[in-house]
Amino acid sequence: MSLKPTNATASGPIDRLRLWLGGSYAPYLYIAPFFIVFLAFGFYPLAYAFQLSFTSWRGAGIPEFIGLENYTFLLQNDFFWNSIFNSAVLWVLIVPVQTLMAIFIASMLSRPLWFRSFFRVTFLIPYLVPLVAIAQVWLILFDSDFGAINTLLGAIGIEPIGWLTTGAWAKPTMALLVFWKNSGFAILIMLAAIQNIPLDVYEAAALDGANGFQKFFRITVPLLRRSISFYVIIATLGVLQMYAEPYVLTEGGPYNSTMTAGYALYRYTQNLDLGTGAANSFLLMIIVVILSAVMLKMMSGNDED
Amino acid sequence: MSSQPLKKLSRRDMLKLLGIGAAGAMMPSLGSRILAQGIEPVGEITIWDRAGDLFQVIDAAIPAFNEKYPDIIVNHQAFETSELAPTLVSGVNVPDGAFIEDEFQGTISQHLLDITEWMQPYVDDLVNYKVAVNTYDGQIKGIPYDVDPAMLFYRADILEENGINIDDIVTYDDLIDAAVKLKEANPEMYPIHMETTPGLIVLWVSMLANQQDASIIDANGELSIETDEFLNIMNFIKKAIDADVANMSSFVQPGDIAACDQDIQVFYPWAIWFNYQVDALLNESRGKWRVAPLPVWSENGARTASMGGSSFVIPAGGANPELAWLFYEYMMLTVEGISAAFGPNEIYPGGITTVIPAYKPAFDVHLMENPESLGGQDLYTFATELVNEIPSNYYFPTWYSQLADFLGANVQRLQAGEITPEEVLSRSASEIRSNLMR
Repeated sequence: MSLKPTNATASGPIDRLRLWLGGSYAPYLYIAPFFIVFLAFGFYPLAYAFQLSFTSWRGAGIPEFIGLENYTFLLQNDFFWNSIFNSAVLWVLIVPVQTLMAIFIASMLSRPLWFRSFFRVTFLIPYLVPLVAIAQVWLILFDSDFGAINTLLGAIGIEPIGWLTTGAWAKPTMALLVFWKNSGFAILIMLAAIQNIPLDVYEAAALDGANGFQKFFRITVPLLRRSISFYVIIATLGVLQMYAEPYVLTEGGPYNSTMTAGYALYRYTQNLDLGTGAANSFLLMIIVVILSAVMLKMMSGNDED
Repeated sequence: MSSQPLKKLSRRDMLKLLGIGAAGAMMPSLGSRILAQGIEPVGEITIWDRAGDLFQVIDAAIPAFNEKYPDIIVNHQAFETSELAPTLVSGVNVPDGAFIEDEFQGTISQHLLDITEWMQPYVDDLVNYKVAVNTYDGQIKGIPYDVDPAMLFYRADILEENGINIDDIVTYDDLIDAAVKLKEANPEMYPIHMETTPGLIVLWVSMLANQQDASIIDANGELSIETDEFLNIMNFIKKAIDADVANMSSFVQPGDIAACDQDIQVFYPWAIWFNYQVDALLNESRGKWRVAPLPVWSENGARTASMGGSSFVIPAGGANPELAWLFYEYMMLTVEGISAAFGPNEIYPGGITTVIPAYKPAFDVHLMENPESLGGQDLYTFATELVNEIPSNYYFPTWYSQLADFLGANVQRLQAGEITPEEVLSRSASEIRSNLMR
């Protein structure tokens, strides 16, 4: 088989196919491994899960087709909406502040600074520490009776707070863990983006009399919008899929107040309620696609500006 | 051992053997029948055991199994128990045998081999409760590993200092009265442990229900939590909280350990495996704890119940179920195997002190040294005598693992004073019916 373009006339179906493909099979052979792997491990599981979402199946026997019942069940289900609400609150608590803080710190770290390397490493360390280890630290710090935080607050006369045992505080406490752990990653992305901004832009702004505040909001932030969009999308996905944090910290409690969308999905699949779990995952996917599309639209809108 | 030439035990051989029902009835086990037929079991089995000490203990006992069955190669693998269900559903790399917690067996019972016939010779030798929870639709699906009787762990030193005799704590009301007395003398105390993790709340409530011969579902699979037995439990929780004697904490978590070591928690109604926390995690109070039977809910009521427990299952999709059965038959249904798995070994020089076997003939062998964590109390004799009181009328629903999201969450609401005991049960029943039993 020739992998080179040919000028031969299309005498047979194979030749006609080759001509239709642009005269050569080679490019298609080169990209074929990706598509084979994607079809086997990406598309097929997705299609299978989609099919499952219309069935009642606990992993044994023949799945029973039940139409849209799983979707209607979930859309009318308090447990499902509670998990979405919890994830939305966590998003509000984590993503905006974390993104702004990451831009600010990255901006600081991109300047000549004493111990700059030390700070860069220090901010990244929490991201590299296993979540389970951090969760244990959190449990010790935020224990309502023996934790260091309440001990410190007690020293200034503040009553003990049930950080992980009350509905009001469990979400913020878990958000703080995610915030602390993942901020290093956000800073890393912003730092890389800031370092790509040409210095002469800042020099020109300085010549025009711009101060540091103006440079930050008129140059740095606008030129980071692609990175900001990227990080916000990644962080949004992370919050919606968040599973390990509630699993190790609260098991979704108290009273399901930290039951995130990802953890709720896990609870269905753990119980081998696979049809409902599959439907839940597709509803989440729809939410993620909509949110991502909105953010991408905002980004492209800025580009047009 | 047979001197016959080695011959592989095929499925056909197995069927032949099983067909010899009358002859088999004279023999105590499948293994004996195989050997009597001169068929030497040969092959390789893949056995999954929970990563950690269980894997190590069983691994150390495999040489003893191979002395009896030298031609069965055991490919022993450590695994996370959550891996079993997806493996069985996918049907790929299915092990020949695997460990599973009893409460999760119902979820995968359809994937498991019916081993009723093989188990029949041993049923009378097993703790009744374990046979019940391994039975689904009349079919035995698991070989019991351990039984975990619940008991009242208490601080002997604190009770003595405060003039409280443990023998006077007969009922749960007595327990609260004793806790109130302790609280009055020591205001910093919250003497009774009150579990706060949703999953463990469900396990704990299930145990307290089992003690009253009740369970989440009845024999017909109907939800049975709106009953007097469950209301007793919720009222006990509320009464302890209202009396300000309940310590809200989570088993093995830092706050719970501190509460034990700092003389805040005095009573811990829990399964025998609380001794893990006493032995391995407590520093100050290790050796000061003792065990007594649980308080009773009514006169002549059971003084114990089961909390947790595990078994081994043989997946229907495994390659060598017969050989896997021989493995478990030896390990869990002979005193020799039980001794190797539970008794003193490299991993536990004093024997396992957190569970006891479910195979009653092994009760005559004192498999654990009296634990120092309990001041040298004879835990093995205490537990093996108590275990026969566990009510066996117990059924795990297939959706047990998701109960934490409803019953567990509502008990948390009760603990927070948001709802009443009656509301816990009515609300949980409604949510379970609409979410888990639809």
